[in-house]
Amino acid sequence: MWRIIITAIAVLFVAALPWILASPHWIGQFSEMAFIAFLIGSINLSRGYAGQLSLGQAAICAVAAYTVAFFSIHVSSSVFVTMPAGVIAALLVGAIIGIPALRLNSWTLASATFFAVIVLPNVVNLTPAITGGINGLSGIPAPSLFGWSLDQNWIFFLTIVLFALWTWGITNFVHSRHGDALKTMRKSELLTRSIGISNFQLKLMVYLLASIPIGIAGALFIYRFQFVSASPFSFPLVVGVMAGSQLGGAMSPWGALVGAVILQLGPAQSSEFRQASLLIYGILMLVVGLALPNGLTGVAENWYRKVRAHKNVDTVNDVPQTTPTRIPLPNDAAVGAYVAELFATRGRKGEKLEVRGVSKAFGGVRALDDVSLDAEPGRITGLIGANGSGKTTLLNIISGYLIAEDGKVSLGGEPLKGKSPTVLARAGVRRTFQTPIIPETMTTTEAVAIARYELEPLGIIPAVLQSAKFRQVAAADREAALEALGACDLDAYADREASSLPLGLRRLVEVARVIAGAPRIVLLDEPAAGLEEREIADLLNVVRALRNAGMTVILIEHNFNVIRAVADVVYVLDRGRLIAQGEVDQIATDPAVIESYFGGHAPIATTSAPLTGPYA
Amino acid sequence: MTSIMTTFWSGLAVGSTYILVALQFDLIYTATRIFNFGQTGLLVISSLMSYVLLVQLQVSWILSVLILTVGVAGLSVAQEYFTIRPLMKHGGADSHGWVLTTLGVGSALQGTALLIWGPDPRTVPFPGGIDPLTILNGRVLPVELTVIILAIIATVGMRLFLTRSRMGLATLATAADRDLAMLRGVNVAGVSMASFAVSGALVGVTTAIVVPITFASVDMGQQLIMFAFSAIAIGGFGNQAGTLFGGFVVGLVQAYCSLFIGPDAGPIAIMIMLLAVLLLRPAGLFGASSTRAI
Repeated sequence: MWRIIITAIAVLFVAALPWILASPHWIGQFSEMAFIAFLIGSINLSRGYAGQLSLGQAAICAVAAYTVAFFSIHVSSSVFVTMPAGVIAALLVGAIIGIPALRLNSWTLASATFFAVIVLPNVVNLTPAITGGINGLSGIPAPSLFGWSLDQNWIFFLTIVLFALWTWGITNFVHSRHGDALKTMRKSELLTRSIGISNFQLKLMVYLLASIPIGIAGALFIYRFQFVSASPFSFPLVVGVMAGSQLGGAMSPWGALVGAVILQLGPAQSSEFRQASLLIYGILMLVVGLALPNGLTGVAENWYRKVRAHKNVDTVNDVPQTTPTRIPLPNDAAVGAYVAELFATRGRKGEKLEVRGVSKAFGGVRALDDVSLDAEPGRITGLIGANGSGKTTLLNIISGYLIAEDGKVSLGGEPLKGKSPTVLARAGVRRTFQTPIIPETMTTTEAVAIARYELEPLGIIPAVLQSAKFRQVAAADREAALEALGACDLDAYADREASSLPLGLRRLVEVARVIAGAPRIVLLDEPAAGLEEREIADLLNVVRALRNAGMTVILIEHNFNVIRAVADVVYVLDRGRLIAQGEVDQIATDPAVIESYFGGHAPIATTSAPLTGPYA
Repeated sequence: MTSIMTTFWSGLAVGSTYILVALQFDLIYTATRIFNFGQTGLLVISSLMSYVLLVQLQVSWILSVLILTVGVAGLSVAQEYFTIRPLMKHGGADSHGWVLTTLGVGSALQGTALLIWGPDPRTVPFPGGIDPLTILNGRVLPVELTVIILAIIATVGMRLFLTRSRMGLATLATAADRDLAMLRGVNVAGVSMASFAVSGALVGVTTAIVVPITFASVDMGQQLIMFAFSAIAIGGFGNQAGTLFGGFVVGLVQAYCSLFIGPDAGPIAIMIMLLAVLLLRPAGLFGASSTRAI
């Protein structure tokens, strides 16, 4: 509460500077800073958080400015009319350029948006009736609020208040689950799809959100100068904004302010600047780009973290950081009951998966040839085979990352073939990866909670305003994540950085993420690879609990002992063909399997041995 | 009819300048997955230097082209060594670090050019004279015909370089699968540097002939890059024949828009065309869509 009051007082103090300072020169300087800061804030949001590089801020800003000018002249000078008009214009132009370009890679967006800056003067020259052509548009009335015409001091006041609101809103946004989704997408676009997030929609959402400050900046430009032409919105502005973004650091909400202040107080002060601006910005970008990849706020944050770590060095040493020892599970039955309750309360259950006659070729190589498979709820269906036998290809087909040429795949009677991984994940097809994919700078709870992003949707506005709905969803996210962590016996690591956990625990975090996503089928891609026996035993406990809770589980494995310990039914693939299927004991003695998979020798543990191997 | 055909030839010639830039740009992208915005600066410096050498210093053509080729290739290699290589070590081609450094190089070179030569465009005389020829009812300047032929030769040459030479095959192998190429003993860092060297050399070789059409000015680089990018996007990345087609289309659209509507209509039409292609055929008109798995 005190923080809010102090912040509000500070903002109002800065906003009231024109009356305190009474220096038009400095008010002008501060206004320029705020204008640049809005544009840098935009580029930081799309570049820093979404990894999408847009270079079109200058062009979008110009369109917003011309729109505000048009509305001021022809409709109304009220800020309530012109500001929304500017923002909507920015959103529209942003969408027209962004939608085609965002579908490809980051470079396409950079190029298409840059193109808009190049074309801007041509558009202005072609539309003299609206834009005033090459001479620019003058005689724009001053903005008004409730019928009062705003002078430069009040415009400055408005600017600062809007900038404070924007910074507050965007800080909320990046600290919400949307921010976590963005971190997840930056880590891996495969991962986001596997938890039902559409990368395109996420990118578009952030990109459009980043168009809003550009619209505001365009309006402020008109309010301040009451004149507009194309020339301020050209290449030097693009480069300046980019340099400011890199200088301040794209990953911090303060980066925009830091970048804008330094640009304005530094190079823009010299009188020779206009001539040399391109050279100065260029050198600045080279130096900062090579020496400070995270900008000045990145340096400050690193330094702050080091100081804090140094201070807390004693308490840190109390917690073993490198190899946390796992607390043994209380007993399997308890975990099983826990998972069963979890699925019962989430209202989802395992469904039967049917794969019929699926084939897939890469070039001339047949990776899968007429493969059929059934996976029943409440059973663990093992899938084994040598490297290159097509196990992962089949899993990728079931989860939508590959499309089969022939055959059918269905879950609970619903056809799956042809749907994207995103759509399938939303329908309850959830998977893990051979190498666990865990985003950096997220706690284990956050890394697991993100699996609910599409399960319980939340819009942008509640996240920006931190509304009651936002708090409710955030609490539900945390609760569900803690439940899933509890099911995997990971409670002790809930607030630890997930990506720094050892491999065995990261595998379990992936399983917890799958559980939190309320699956109808769980696909585990070689979960035991690289784990120690103790870790494998822990992991298999969770897999058994999933089965006992009625989940459909497909377990891809290399290690026959693992399959032997948990699988109810086993399918064996060899060079894309199914060569055997049945119960474990049956498979272990199947001559074709022995030939292909065990290299002619029967597995060491013979059929008569009871299943009390290392992982039982 | 005469003006239609005359415009056809000048459209092809303008398109040819885009094709030349596109080949330089696409080579680096193929080898490194980097969009080299720094090329804007190289084009500007090379063009203005051709003016200095040919007009101000009256250096002979052969010597000028030789100086430009070596000089721009050197500048390009220096860019790779000092501003790309340090970033490739960590992060690889997916980090945004080198967006900044390529833009930084482009901006710094253009800024330098602005300080030295100012904003006014300049040109160099074409040694083949200015008497137009008449082909298919249209008038075509000797320089235009030369540039069209040069673009076709360069396209074929680039295709042969990539598919026949050892270095070219290494480039294609790197483009197809960087890790696999490394495993097979391809010197990926060498491929990257070679692509910058060849691309820079191509800038140097072609500038002096292209400048009578494009003019030499500080602003030329950005426009050329964007039209070249459009040509590549229309034809499909890594597809030289597609780039040739895309470049001609872009040049012709620009020329006819100028003729019928006005000079400002061309760039707008090309941008609309680019967005339409990105929306409807993201892999370009001749590009095959690729599937990616885990």
